[in-house]
Amino acid sequence: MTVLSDLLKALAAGQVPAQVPPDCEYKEEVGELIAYLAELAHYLRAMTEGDLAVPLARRGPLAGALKGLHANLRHLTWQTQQVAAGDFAQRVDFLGAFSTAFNSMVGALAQAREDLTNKNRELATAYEELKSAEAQLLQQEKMASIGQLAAGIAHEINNPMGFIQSNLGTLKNYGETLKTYFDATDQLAAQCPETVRVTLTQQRNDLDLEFLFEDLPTLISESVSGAKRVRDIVQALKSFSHVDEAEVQQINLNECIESTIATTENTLRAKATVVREYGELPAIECRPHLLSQLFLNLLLNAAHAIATQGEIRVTTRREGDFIIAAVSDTGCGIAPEIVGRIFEPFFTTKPVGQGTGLGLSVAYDIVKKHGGKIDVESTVGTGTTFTIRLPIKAVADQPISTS
Amino acid sequence: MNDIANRKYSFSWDLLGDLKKGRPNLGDTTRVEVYRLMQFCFRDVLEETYGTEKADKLFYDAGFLAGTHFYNHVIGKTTDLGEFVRKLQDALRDMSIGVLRVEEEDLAHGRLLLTVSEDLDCSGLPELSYEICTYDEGFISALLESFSGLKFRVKEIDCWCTGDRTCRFEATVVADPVAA
Repeated sequence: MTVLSDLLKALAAGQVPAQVPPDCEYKEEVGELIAYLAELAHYLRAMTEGDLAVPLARRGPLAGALKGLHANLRHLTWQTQQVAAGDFAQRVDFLGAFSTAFNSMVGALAQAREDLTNKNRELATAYEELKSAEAQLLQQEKMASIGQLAAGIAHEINNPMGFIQSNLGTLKNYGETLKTYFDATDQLAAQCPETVRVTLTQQRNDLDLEFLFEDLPTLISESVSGAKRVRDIVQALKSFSHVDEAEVQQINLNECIESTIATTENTLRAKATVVREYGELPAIECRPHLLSQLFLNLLLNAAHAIATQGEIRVTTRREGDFIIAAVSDTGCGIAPEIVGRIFEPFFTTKPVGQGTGLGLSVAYDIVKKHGGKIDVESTVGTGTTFTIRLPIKAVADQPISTS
Repeated sequence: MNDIANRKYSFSWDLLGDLKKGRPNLGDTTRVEVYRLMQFCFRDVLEETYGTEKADKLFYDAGFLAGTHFYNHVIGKTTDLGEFVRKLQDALRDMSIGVLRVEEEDLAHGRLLLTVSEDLDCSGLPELSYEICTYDEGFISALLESFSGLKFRVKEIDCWCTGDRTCRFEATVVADPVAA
């Protein structure tokens, strides 16, 4: 009895003997109790040391409660692994204050990740905007330089072209006068003695005067035509550099487009049906003749893109403080590799002599000068759409540029 | 052979009825004893009629059928394990079925260890010498199969009835689905 009493006291004090004391009563039952307690102690020690892989085969309410705790800890481990894998929706619903702390931590992690994602998105957007702004700046600088160059060239060519055209006109008159004189002498020669007449005929033949008077008007006509072409190019260069500027006015863009269509109706009718989809528009602050020039260039460009018969669609609409106008055609389209170059001055795909390569660059410049934007979408074989976005009012810090 | 063409009790979710309409005063809950009264009486009659092994299989299969419908109507399609577990935990807790925990998850090797505390079927039952949650085994098996598309064999390894306080289920992917 003493041995059993000592054993129970030791167990009550939390000491589990390694084996059943000799002379102990109920040896078998005590042995089973000690083995059970030893297993529980081993299991608890492992759990305390963080080893959650140690199993407990024993059953019963005490072992069951410990295994419940063990299950919770292992579930917590799994939840933490899930959080580590990015599942921030995990929440702990046991372990009291720890749950609150854990859930707050996961919530904070989720918020931090969201903030970081937003920041990354903002940075990516800012980077894209920066790249776009840089490209626009480069394009503007290039266009400005070319504009200055074009203005200089226009000025330098205009002066000599003035007297070339004037002289060609005089030269034509001189040629006609000479021809009159030549015809008169020809009639007089018929009345001269034969020796003189033969000599004159001989000289006329040697100098090939018949051909000269026949070819002279053609040469002068071709030169006049060439000079006119040079003048047209100079005029286009002047338009590009905006040497001539008109006053800013408030106009209805639909009316502006309609009058432009009217002026070029014959050319357009030969190539396409013009479909109009005009929206309700407020008056726009602009330089009307420049916008007429802009739409004229786009309409002619559309007509030139159509081989036989197609459709040109003109649409307008209001979008907040802007007016959106689009000119679409069902023409040949623009190859992707050259789409980035179409607004460059002198860039053309037309055969030599059929296009100055200034139409779209002038259009680009007019839109930019109005603080707007021009975009192009094109599919080879299907057609092209130019979309223009113009501010309704020229804002104070971005007035319509004059140079 | 059963006459499949003329079945009388083919289950569909609609058979659960419109509880709002049908039980405006008593509501959509009942006491756990009522559920257990029905389950253990069924078990008694089935065992007496078909034997223990067959009765257990019938409960496993009934659990499987229930799990399949439960997944389709309560959990819903998902391919993310974390989301699946979370939805299942919420549903089991909200419907007072039990508290689900994931003790171990190694789907790469086709193994899961799940525990359910305060289980509707067994928590508080007298101690027996065997696990009793065969219905839960089939139920969990169907949930895992519906989620993953893989056949699972689920075995309860600890139960309130074996002296544990948490039911523990070991789920293993079955290479040969016939064996499931």
